[in-house]
Amino acid sequence: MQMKFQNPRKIYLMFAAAFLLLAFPAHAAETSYDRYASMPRVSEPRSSASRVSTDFLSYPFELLRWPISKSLYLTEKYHLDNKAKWAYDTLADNGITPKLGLFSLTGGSGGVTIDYVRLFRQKNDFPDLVAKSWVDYSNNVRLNLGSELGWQDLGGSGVGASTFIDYDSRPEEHFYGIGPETSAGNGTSYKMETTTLGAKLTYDPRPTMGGNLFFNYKNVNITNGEDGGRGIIDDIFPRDSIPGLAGDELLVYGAEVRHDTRNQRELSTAGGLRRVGLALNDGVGSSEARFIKYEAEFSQYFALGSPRRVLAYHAFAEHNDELGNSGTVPFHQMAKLGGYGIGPWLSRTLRGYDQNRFTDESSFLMNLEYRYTVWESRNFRMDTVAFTDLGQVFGELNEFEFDNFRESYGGGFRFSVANHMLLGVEVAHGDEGTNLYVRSSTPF
Amino acid sequence: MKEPIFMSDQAHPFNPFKKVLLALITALTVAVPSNVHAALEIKAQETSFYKDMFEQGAYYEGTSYLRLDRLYRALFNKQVGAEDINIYDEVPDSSFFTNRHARSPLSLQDLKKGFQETDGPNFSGEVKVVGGVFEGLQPNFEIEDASGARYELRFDSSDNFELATAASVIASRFYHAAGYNVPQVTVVKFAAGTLVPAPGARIIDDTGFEKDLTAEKLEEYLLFLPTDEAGDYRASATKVISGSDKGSFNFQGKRRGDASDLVDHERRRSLRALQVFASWLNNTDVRPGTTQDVVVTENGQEVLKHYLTGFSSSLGATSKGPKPPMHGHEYLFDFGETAKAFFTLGIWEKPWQRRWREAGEKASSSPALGYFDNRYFEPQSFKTQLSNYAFKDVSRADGFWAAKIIKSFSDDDIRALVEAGQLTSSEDAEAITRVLIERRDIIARYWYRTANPLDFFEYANGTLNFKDLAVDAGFVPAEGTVYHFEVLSVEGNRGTHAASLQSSATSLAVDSSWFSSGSVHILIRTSRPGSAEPSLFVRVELDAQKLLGIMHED
Repeated sequence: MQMKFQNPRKIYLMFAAAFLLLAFPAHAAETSYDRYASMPRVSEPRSSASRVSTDFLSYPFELLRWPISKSLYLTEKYHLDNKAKWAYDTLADNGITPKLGLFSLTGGSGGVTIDYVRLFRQKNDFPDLVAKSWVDYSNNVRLNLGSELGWQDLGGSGVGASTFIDYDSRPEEHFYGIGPETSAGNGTSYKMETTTLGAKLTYDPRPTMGGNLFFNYKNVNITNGEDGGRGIIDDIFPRDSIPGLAGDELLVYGAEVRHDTRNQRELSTAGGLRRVGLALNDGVGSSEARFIKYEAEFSQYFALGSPRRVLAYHAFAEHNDELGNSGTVPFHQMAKLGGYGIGPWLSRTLRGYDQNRFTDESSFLMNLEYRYTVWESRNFRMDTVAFTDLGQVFGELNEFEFDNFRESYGGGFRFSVANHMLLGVEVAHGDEGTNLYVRSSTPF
Repeated sequence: MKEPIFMSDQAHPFNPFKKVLLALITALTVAVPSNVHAALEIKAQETSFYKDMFEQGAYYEGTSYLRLDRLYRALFNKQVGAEDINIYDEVPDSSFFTNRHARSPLSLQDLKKGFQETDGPNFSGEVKVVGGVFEGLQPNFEIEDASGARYELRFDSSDNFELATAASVIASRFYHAAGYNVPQVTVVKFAAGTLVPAPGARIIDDTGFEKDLTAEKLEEYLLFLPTDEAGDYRASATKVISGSDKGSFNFQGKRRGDASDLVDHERRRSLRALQVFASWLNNTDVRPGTTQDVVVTENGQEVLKHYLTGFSSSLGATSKGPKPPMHGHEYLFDFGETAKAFFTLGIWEKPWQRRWREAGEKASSSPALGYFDNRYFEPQSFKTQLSNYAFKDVSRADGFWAAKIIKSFSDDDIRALVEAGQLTSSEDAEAITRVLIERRDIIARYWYRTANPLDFFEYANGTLNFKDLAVDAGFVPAEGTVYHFEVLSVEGNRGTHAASLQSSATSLAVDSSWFSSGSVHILIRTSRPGSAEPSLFVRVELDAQKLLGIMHED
């Protein structure tokens, strides 16, 4: 059919209409059909893989999901997290600071520190006064309680002084004998109760520098351990072969100097800690103990191009030197190695071995850790750690032998918030087996 | 005389069982629509950030390894097509999505205005605070203005004036223009003393306990908030959505009780595509907790409408300040990225770490911008903080569909939408606009390359015309682009090869002989200059008169 344009106005109108159509943005192009029509596509047959549902495999986990989800929902709905934080802060502001920790997969620790200055609203009047009591409990590991009275940083001078009393009960301390070659089969346990009365004078001229002088009276009582699965210390080791097995009363005079340039107390990424100390221990009453304890500790943290990659090195040395011909070092005051180290135990970090696995007058220990961040979100972080520990105990300094080093290696994860470790899970392997550690603090 | 519906058994050998079955089917057919329109009895679905964090971040992520169909698809790179699409491969309007800007470009004024029920809270007089939460030095107030309308006021953090409030408003405008249901969100400014506590108002403060909101308390809360040079406060005011609140919706499964919700949410293109829109708007907080379901009455019928509600984690912002550097790059719990870091001993630097290091480990020098740029931005790698099955299932066709909508926003459109954020500094507004324009093109370029970007098919007078969106956008040259046509004559479910053609023109002369069997399926692949591999196909279905359907290969 031939179109006729008799009216030129119509032609102009058509041109105008065509121009308008062309002027539309390309993506808003008009189509002759309704692109958005509600005409559902008949689904193509799905592939066999997508037809098969294996949701049922997750059904058992639904039993976990529901209560967890519900608990989390209610926690947020009723602001239970904020309420708990408020309760903690309020207690702390009023001088009562609760503590919780983890030292094994099933073992927890708890405690409370009471700051009487805050409790009795005296902080403004006596900002330097220290008056506190504490109690810490770790099931089957330690009960510690005590009180301290004194001053800290008097008038901003950095000088402080205090006296304290402390009771420490350890119902299941492990003991394998003295020396680097003891047998893992000779595992015994003993109970150690220490009561300490002391005084100390501190001087911290700078945040990174400090030292103290101290005088303590210690009463150490040794009895049979409460770990029924282990040998009784008196039965395995003759009483006269182990100095201090009957307990001791000690007067301790000591000094310590500390230089701490770590950028954080935990999970440091730069700086380091140097600490040296010595203490004269003099037995009183029937105690034959008379020795000087020397300790030196060194740690350094290197960020490897990023604070997310840190090489951490730690070394510790201890020597207990008998004085005179009759002076002895009681076994309970000797250097000890084994276990994760930090926390309620006395022994230093030699992972892969039982706590207190090695005991002698001297020890030398090195720990090397490579810590790297694998996950982080805001203040939360998870680090992976790969480590090796190397240590030995020995008697006199000339008995140190490179062949006596015991080594271990391992790795794990540490979960922290705001550079404060919440949970760490680590596995270490030494020549006596493999150990798992679940902790809420770093070893150094 | 009317014919009976069922004839006698003699006339039609229907057995009685078939009769009953037929009657049952008929009854059900009639009954189902009536259920759809009945009063909706839907239980509110409650959620919270902690719950979302556990379920989306840990539980479903962990148990996804028990879903063998997902494992199979992940291993063999198989995709499952969306099911809320029509025969033209578009998403028709629904209670989740309404085609807006892509269907018909909104005016700059409409874009800037967004969804608007009112002019926003009326601050000409006193405005009552009826409740709220005060947490982390930032209050959220629920207010009621003189008209009785209720709004939620959210403020910027003290160090980042305009950041979160602008991000909320700008993102809400984009989502609305794209097609999603959003509440009315506006920037409001008001002088000190405008807000007064309503009688009996209670507020939950950072102790977690609910307390009386007194005038003194209110003044104390406002003390922590930043103000502009005139001393006025600034907030985003989100109007409380009218209707019966039914909580949030999930990104998987169907909504229980809603008979009109016929498609699993992870199979809805409109929801899958939120991942692509989130990548554009840098919105890292898309989860059940930032959605809302509301029963409203439309045309005399109750309908469950699905809203997106939380936008303060868009652009360079989060509600607490600038976006943390890992946001957009990693899930909150990203097992894959964590494993990569673990096995490479931390030596491998993650893209966000590199980006953050290069930025001098600080956000923009302008507090209102936060942390928003396109360095190391890869559309396919963008991650919201919490994942879900819908986002993991985004197919190439879904991505193309979303990219097409994103590309429908011109530079001027984007500039107008950013203006809705009412940023004081024109440099800040221009910086956001520039990033969004660049990011729009990065996203479109990626999805147009990943899918086959042929669209806007027209069939008339024996010729099939179409547009190559990648060429039209200038992403690839027309010269050297070749379209390969595979023609199948289709009869029933069987197709017979009819012709193989290729052309560099975006049109095809359709031979009438191809219709001998009824309809024709034309599979079109595109090859680009310098690329040996042809693209995925687009299938166009025709009969002799009209275009029957379009499908982009997933």
